[in-house]
Amino acid sequence: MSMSLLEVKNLGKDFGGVKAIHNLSFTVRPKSIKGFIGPNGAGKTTVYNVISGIIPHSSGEVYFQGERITGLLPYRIAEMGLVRTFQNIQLFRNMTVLENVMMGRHIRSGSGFFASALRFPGMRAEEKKICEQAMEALAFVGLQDKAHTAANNLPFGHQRILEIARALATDPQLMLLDEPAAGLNTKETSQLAELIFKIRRRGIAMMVVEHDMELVMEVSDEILVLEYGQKIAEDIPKNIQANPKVIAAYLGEMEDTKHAEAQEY
Amino acid sequence: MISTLLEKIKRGHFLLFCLFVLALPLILRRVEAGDYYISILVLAGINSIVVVGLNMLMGYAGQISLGHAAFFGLGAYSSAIITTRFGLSPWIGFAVSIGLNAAVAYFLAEPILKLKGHYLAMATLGMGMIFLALFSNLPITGGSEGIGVAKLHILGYVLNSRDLKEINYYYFTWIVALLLIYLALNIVKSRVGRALRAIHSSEVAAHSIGVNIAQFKTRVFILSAIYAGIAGSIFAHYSTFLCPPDFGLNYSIRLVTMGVIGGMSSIWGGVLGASTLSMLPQFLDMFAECDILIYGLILILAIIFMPQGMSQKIAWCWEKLKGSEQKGSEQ
Repeated sequence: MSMSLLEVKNLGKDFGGVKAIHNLSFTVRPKSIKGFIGPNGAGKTTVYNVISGIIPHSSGEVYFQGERITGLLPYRIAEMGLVRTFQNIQLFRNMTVLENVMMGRHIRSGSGFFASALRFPGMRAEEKKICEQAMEALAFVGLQDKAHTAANNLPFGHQRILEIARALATDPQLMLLDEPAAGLNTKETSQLAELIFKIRRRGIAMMVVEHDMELVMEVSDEILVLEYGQKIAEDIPKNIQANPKVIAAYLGEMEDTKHAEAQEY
Repeated sequence: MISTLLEKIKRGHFLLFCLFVLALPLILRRVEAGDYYISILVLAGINSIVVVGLNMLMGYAGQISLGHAAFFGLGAYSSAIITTRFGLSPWIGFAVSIGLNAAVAYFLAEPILKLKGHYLAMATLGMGMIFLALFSNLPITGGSEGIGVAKLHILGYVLNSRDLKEINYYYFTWIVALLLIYLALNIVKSRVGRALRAIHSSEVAAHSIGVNIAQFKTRVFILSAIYAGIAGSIFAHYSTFLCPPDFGLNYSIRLVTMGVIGGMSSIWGGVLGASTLSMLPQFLDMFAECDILIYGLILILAIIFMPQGMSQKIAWCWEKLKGSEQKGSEQ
């Protein structure tokens, strides 16, 4: 039994001829925060998609709490305590804020079609509990006053926070956050950092994909750097900042952008 | 004060509807041609059952079925065959109708529900065609010559007695319908209903948060098939004669139309759409040859001005009424 919460071993993912992920290995320790950075297109979201079971892997294995999760369906992985948020915010837009978070309690409840149709006492008690626990999660992230607002009507910054609240409601061990700060202003970003620390104090480990370097350096215990689907560095923030390979990868990205802009003229 | 009254109505609305439904034929009987109107309401009740089931599948879970006449027909023919060919009790017919529909839906669910959008629609279209072909060609169904259906009797009392037929069937149909509506309302307000709506909104998020997508889609598909099957059996005993054309694409499309016009994401919408569109053709009789034209026009206007269905429009008016009342009391 290893010490790590998440263990990725020689993971590979091919799309046709393209190797999106190549021989990737890393671990995430319990209650730690792992930054996950890399230029655009490096494959970070693909890594998340494979770990969370949304797309199948091509080679290698992923272990969560010592159990093999490669090949499992997403809902099974969520049941085991691994949840994620989405880069392009996947809220349930046909529901209120509270109902979104109540969906987070789905795996921790069990009333089915029969019990719900006949409104068994057990089902009613469970509904009440689900509601209370969802309100708790909302209070934890500070959105309790918006409980009955339509999720679609939330300001953008709050929508990201809502996704986090929904994931928190599942009582996870590990949360994979995908660009949680994208589109947030400075104040909202520092509130996000506080929330991340608050979540860690609760004992939940996190991986954080982010392009906001200040945020990543601030919250991460360790940072994993991906380029073209391969790990180029995995170290404490201070060392990552000074790592020549990392600098080159990001400079390369800047060069590509400048080159593309020059070509437009 | 009005808004508290509205709140009370909202909470007791199911009971109010039950009272209304149960009292209606007593009033209609006193009207000229009352029995005719009651007979239309029987059909409204039968259609309501199917559309409520269909709305759970389409409006809540976000799937589509252009072949639900297949399940309706399967239920109807089950009752017909069990009572007429085998001479067994109609209640066994009901049981077979439910069981067969559940089994067929279960086996079809796995291949069909993996499909999305237009492909799913086509698969359900195909399903409808296959069943229509079965109804038309299997010797046991009587094919295009049709099949008679034995009368329905409850504890020895025959429902088809001549002058009481319509009102008997009205009560039988609507009591079953009210029960099924009640169950459906409970389901959509529960953890299950939330999961279905989540699947509709974002399948990937629902799956990632722990919803077993395949299982929920399958179960709601089976449920909608069972609802259609029960309605089919009731229809069989009411009509006492079945022939295949009633169970084809025409009916499948009408069902979807009822759902859309009434409001797909609402159980009451299903009842409203089914009842309204069941009754509408009768009121258009006065337009003689133009009746289909007017019917089509009404559908077009409905979709333009109430794209989310009648139930949504009513809910909107309700909120406005509450809101303006509150504003008024603030002054």
